Amino acid sequence: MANIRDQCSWVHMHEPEAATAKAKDLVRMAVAKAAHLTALPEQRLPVTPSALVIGGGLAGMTAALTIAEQGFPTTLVEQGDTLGGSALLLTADRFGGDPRKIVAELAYKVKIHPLISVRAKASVASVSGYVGNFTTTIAKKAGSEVINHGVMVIATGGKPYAPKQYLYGDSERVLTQLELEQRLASSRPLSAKIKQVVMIQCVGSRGADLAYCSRVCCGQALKNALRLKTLMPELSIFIYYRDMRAYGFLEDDYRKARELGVIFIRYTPENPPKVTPGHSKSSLLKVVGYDPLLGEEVELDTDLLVLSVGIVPEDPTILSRMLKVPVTADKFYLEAHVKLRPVDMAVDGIYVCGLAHAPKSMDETIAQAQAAAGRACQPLAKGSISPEPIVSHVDPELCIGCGACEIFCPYKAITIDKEVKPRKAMTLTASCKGCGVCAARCPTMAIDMGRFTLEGIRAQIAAFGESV
Amino acid sequence: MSNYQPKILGFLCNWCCYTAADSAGVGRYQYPPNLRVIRMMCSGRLDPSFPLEGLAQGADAIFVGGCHPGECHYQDGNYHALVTAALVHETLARLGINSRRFLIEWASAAEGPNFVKIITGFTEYAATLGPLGTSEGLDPTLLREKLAMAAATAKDRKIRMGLISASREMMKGADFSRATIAGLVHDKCDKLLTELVGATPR
Repeated sequence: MANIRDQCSWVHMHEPEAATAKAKDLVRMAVAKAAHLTALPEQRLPVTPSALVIGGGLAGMTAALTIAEQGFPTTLVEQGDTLGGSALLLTADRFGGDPRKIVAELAYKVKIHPLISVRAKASVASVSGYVGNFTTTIAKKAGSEVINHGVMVIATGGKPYAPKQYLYGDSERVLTQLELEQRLASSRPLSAKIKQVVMIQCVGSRGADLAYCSRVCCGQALKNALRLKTLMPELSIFIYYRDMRAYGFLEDDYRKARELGVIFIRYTPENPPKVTPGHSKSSLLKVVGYDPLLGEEVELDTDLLVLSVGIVPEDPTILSRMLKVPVTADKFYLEAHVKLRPVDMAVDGIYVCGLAHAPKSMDETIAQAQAAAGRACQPLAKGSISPEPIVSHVDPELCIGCGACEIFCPYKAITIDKEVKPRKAMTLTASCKGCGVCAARCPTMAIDMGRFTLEGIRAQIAAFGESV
Repeated sequence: MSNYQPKILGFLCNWCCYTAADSAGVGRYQYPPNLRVIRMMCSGRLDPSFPLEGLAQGADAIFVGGCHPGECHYQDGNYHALVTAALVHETLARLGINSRRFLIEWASAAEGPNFVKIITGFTEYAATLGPLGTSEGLDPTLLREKLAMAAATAKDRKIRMGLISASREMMKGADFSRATIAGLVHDKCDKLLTELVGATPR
């Protein structure tokens, strides 16, 4: 293959002429290699028909249940002591339902499912193998456990951004949307004296701290504003926003909020609203912001200041290195291709869903978890995989039986046949993974690799030289 | 000379560096268009003759990219690549070529930006050196003939036996620092290289 898209046109977008010259070279090199390709015999390897799901939140539980419902044993690893994850922080959905109830029901289904084994207070200590045949060590307090599985789903989740701005932590009157959710679900949500509430959107988001939009905070602000209005219809609510992202049916919430008198005030990132504290930790706050539509400063006394903070992923550093899968600059797991291969990771047999992938709502999380489970079931249902037939083979004419290949092979996939005289090396096709260390160390260059032949690589080098 | 567009041939391992290059594309990171890539399954596949042939065929610089030390998809292929690299560096030095025209570096599949940083830096450095032979003050045609001969030398059975024992000692000593590996390769191949390629000029 000549890799023109990922390694040429996308990375040299502003240099079309140089990119075209490079593309020509890459094509010429690929054609030169292709001339030396031969048909290789295909092998089949069995697949361990079970799955591992990492993370016991809404995404992980949904994925585990979907896989198990299709008949495949699934191990669910959760680092905390209970299942549920971030969804438990929400106390109401748009329709007045309680997500905590739904999550608890799901957790119950997961726990009693005969094909799901839950490992709580556990983490993944090491992973080896490849699609169809992974071996994972799960570390628990009581000791470690080794499990074999064919596929795995990453659902390690996320957490709310911890704000430092707008007097958060300094004043009792400043809280996040999630903290407001908790209060709204309590027996005595708000003091009757409260007259005015101000919300600020995009706190920490779309700027220096978090480069991205967290997608759900606008909807959450609308939902909580409507909940406040239901509790106390006389309450004044102001929402400082940069852009309201009320996509899909959230538009209905936005319209309803406006009808009920919620006032939306725009602000620009260069000129965010300023919050001034009162005399003590508990006194009223003053929020001053410049309204670009009005062209004037707006000054508001506020009983409660609610910050809409974004979502940050759980730190993926250790796990992503272990799995050799890429993460984005924002530390979300990067799928193999956003449009062509969503929920697949670049490494075969590994899939991603939930907040580990990107901020998203509960319904989106459920849909994505089902998608990941669907993809994960493909190799399991097929029952076998055909690894690429790129194994080594030995030319007995050239082999001198020195045994260097046997020493360096990491898989014991090449051995000296001691029965035959003179001694010759021999490949064990099923074990060979095609790395080619044996070929690089063969003193007589008697070993060649399927698809990556000496002749082919030399032809590529020669074709590279033709451009010079 | 820094406006010179160096021709760089790269050998990237399938699992880390090649994937890093792909993810750099997906992320639309931009880097200089001087690199031409040959994919291999593992940097451990690198035959010492490949980079030398690449230079003989007209490359100004060679890049080899693998997984980070300790993170090889095949356990230890990148360490063997360091043994091969040491022989290439040694050979270049003996030919009077700036051995920094050959670079071996690591970028994991997750490190598109790191790959971009490495390639950008290496391209800029190779540009300052100019065409092969320029910074060395040597005739390029003659140099390429010598490189072709050196590539043939890298296929020599005795030299490769030297690499085998260097690789063996490296695995036994479990010291994978570049300096130690270069020392091992020097010990094993010095005599033969002096005979076949020549001594390192002072």
